[in-house]
Amino acid sequence: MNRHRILGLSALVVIAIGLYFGSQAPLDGLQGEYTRIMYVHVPSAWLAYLSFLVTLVASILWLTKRRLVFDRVAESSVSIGVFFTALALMTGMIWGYPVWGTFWDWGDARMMTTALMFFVYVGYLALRRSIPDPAMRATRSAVLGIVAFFLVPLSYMSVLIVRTLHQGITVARPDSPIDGEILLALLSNVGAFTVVYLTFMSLKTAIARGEEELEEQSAAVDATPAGAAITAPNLEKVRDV
Amino acid sequence: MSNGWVVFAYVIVYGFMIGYAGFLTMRLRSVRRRVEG
Repeated sequence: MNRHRILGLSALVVIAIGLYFGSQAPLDGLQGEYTRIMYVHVPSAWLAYLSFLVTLVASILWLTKRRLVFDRVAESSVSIGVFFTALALMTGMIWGYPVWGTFWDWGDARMMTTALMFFVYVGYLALRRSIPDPAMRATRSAVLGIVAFFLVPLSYMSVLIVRTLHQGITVARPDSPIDGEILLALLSNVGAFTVVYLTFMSLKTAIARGEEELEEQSAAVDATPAGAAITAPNLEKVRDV
Repeated sequence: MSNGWVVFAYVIVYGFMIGYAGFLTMRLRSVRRRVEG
């Protein structure tokens, strides 16, 4: 059994555990059943932050060590981070409508900074596609991967800067008021989403490695002089005739 | 999980996850085929 399959199966098991704890956890007195959206919304947002943190570290490593594996990790992590950010935005809208009465609030700092983060990292992926040279592509996207990371703490801390619809920081507070069972359900789902992230990373980095090989193959073909594949005629035989 | 919005959120999240995993698996197979072939 290969690495991708083991990770995929592990992801299924931990997702089942996360779903179990999520279904057993008590409900919030005000929100009722809608509390359960938290178990997919919050892990999606945290995994998006983690993905961009991995990109930051891999980008710094590329700039210092110049090994393509770090560029591969940075790119793969951004793709997956964008995916998790999209999930966080979608589930946030689904949660917001019944609880806050609106899908979107243009004045909410957390929503706006997360949307900004989403579009900046989509721009990172677009930038990569616009540069054909692998080394230049890696360097320029590493710079963007480092600069863009300021959006992660900005998105996380935005609830402290402007208080609108989103509640303040809850889990990471020293005097966290969160119920133990709710915290267990939340953390088990964060764990499950982390295994999903690792599965996606394993697949995505393998794809990136394959694409690099294809690029090298096509560069080798381009570098071959025209007519090099044509073999010289065997003149000995011609003379015999 | 009898609430429609909750079910919708879970369907979106796990639906996209399965879809993305399938997409990545297919893409990996295609890249490997092209590298070998």
